[in-house]
Amino acid sequence: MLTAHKWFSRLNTVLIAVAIMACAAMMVQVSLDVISKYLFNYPIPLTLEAVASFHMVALIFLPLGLVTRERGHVGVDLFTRNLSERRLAVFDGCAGLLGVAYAAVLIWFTTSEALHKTRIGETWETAFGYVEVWPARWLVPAGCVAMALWFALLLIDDLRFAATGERSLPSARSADEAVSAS
Amino acid sequence: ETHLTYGSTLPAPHLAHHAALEPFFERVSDATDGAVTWEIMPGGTMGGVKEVVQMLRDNVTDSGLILDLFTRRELPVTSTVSDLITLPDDFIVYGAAANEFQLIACPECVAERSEQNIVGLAYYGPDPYRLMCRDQTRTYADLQNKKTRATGRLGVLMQEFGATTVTIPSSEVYESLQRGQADCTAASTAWLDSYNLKDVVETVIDLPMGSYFNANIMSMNAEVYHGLSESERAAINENLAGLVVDVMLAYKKEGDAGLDNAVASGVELVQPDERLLTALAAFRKGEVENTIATAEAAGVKNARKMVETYLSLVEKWRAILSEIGVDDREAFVAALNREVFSKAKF
Amino acid sequence: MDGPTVAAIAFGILLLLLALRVPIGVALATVSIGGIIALRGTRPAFGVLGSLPFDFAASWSLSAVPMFLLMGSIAYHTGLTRSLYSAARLWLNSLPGGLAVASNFASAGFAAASGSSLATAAAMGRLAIPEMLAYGYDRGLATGTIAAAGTLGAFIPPSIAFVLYGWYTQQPVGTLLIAGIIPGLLTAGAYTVMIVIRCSLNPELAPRVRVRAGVAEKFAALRDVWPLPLLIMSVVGGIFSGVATATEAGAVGAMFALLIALFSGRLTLRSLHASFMEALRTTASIFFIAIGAILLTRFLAMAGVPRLMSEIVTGWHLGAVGVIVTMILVYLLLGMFLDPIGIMLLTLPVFLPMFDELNINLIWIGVLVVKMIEVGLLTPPVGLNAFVVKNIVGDTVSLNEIFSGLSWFLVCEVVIVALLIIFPALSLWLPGLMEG
Ligand code: NA
Ligand code: NA
Repeated sequence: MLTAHKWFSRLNTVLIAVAIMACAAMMVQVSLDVISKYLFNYPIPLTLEAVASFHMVALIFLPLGLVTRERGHVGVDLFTRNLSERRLAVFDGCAGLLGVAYAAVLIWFTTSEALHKTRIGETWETAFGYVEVWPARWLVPAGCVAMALWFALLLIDDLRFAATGERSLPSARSADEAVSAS
Repeated sequence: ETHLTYGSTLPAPHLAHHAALEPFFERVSDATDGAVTWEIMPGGTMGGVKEVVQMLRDNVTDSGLILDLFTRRELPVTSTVSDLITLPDDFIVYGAAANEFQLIACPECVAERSEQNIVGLAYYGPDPYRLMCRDQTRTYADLQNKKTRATGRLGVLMQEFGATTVTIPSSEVYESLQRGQADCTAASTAWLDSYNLKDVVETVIDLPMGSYFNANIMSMNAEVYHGLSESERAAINENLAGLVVDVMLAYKKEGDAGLDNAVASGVELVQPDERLLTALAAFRKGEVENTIATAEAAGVKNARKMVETYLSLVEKWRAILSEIGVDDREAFVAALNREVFSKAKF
Repeated sequence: MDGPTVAAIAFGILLLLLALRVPIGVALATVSIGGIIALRGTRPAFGVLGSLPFDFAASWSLSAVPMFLLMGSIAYHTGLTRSLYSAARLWLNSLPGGLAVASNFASAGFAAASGSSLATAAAMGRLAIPEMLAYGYDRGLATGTIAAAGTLGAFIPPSIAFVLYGWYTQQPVGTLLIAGIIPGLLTAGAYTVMIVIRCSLNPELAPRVRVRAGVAEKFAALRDVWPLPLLIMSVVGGIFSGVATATEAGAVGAMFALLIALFSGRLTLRSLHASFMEALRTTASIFFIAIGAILLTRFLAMAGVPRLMSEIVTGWHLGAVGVIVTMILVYLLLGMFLDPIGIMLLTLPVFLPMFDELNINLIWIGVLVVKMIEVGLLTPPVGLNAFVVKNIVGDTVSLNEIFSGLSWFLVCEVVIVALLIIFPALSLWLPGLMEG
């Protein structure tokens, strides 16, 4: 399981790196577009299309694996607050099962959609001609794969903890990533 | 009893709903003694403009509105002529011709939709785009380097006019004209009212620069359509011409009213100068070849023949409509039925 | 089974799943997919699932959300926020709950730049919450203030919510934007009164500083506060002067925060990395939930919920007040589960014809509609503004604490909504003035 943890973490690192690049590119490209439009009357071509069809999709779907790993999906804990850690793990395991199922269905159908859009060569119409946007379709299943893997791994860990009282995975957030207010 | 859904990306109170589709649905319902009823799901509840083809194919809704400019590669053949968007000098003529082209003169188009599990039943064009500016832009010379909001081929046309094309979503048009992120916009005159552009615009140049005439206002999932009884399908088919005429006349009325209200509230209607007219004419000439080239690049065979066929139908309908006059609803409906809907095989 | 029955069962299952700690995004999607399959079969369900995630995410207008999140996290991680709050602490010491009040008004200021509640809460949350917590403010108060004040983003122009309402109802956007100003200020004012009263009655909520600072010390503290006001003013100024649109302002703001941090020598690779990670984390988890909420909207539309509502409400033959009160209750209910766009999509086609028939002013209704969808961002179990804040604070504050902190703001909202209904002039006076 630790091996899986290691490899899944590496996958996350790669996906997050792409997402960070998309996020940075979005900031830089839109800023340059604004400046260039204002000063030189020259908008940077295809800024809106790049942001909408690529950067946004990358930064929404690619971090899903990381969010799952850190148990960062928002849930309601009003009714389960007073349960013991091991009881909670049972609930989390069942929730994880549903998570795996949802992620798997998403992977299946967004992949087939991506295939379809790739086959027809999906384009968006712009003032600079038709731009191919189909590659961005693949970002959706890519992010969902990472999410499915982490849901599955955490689910196994949760069920194991529920049964034996021991966890085999390190805790969710490492110290340098903690965002708690200090 | 069959209850059908209609997925629309237009807002609920849009004229296409209340002036055309709802009366059409009522006529069909009456003709079938209430056996076929419809419900509009407006505002993109069932999916955005880019999802529509897939939404109909997978029967998320039973019927809907397809704007194939947004789904070019889903319907490459059907949308071949859509690139001619800047050509219409008279949107009603182009819209009427689109029906004859899509339903009769272009069997490849019918076949393509059928492969997508979709039946295209009726087409229209909305009222034309005009240039509107927040300042005193009146001429070709004034327009140079003006930041102008426009998309697609209209955006290319703006560049041809010497303006700087900027891309701003329609939800931000009002704000951006108010504050100057855009100086001008290409827009339907109905927007003067519906987006309140009349408050932020000083001039409207009275030059129709095109209309999206290839809008498929009535398309249905093929299995649903063919699953209806023969008499139910006949009830639909016999009322399509009325739908087409109603929607276009409503657009004309609303566009005119938008312009009148704007002028009444101080917006100036400016006649286009000679250079604008020549620039537009020159651009339009090139658009035919450009449309053919784009379609061929997308793998459409016979693109040239299709475009020529469509343009000859435009002249045919120009003649028909100049004879009957557009305001005679019954004569227009009769002409569409005679030339198109009585012959079409869906 | 007919649509409404399926919808009722789906809601039951949804509540059960949420109670069992299933992630909200997963729970919403599960019942929606199941519901669509039950109503129309697998093909439509899987068709929607294949295309909706991309089509929703691929949006230019929504790009302001991650960019404002990034702006906020850069400002926080590079320490741009710290000096302002230490100064504010000295200056506002005499006011009970001073920092919360200041954050509330800072949000109102930021709302003048941002058209979106989520973006406002995201940006201000990162700037304000850690500082309030550091000074010992009650966790519910600190987070609730920011989540609630975020809704000012939709009232003080620009406003995506009003633009959408204008489009869905074909009402003039300019008039709607003006109509939202006074209700927005009223909201900020009501929040302030509530915060001050609560903190006077219970000083533990917002501990005051013991040390009494002299005038010289107070002015000395002002020396280093410039980065944050500069940042906010340049974002607001950029929009008003026509340099950047409301959407572009997010990216420009993030870039500007980066440059300020760089030139004031506070930017490190570590803080930069942390800022990006945080923006990504929050964006992904919020949009993941939003996708579920939109799936639910589609399912409810397929289930014929709008038609059912219309039949019921029309059958009651209510007068104007009755229809409005019904609308408020429907919005409160749907607002618990859906996102703002979904609520408008499902309800406006139902209520608009009734308002038309009763001759009710649709500008006034627009203010009430926007108010209610904004309230929906604050109510459990699906409250997107609360989730934005939750993502910012991580494990330090639980969702329950945030929602219980928000309950006080919801009490304010009851008063505000009542005032907006009783005195339509609050919404209509300013636009009337504008039109002469
Ligand atoms: Na705002
Ligand atoms: Na809510």
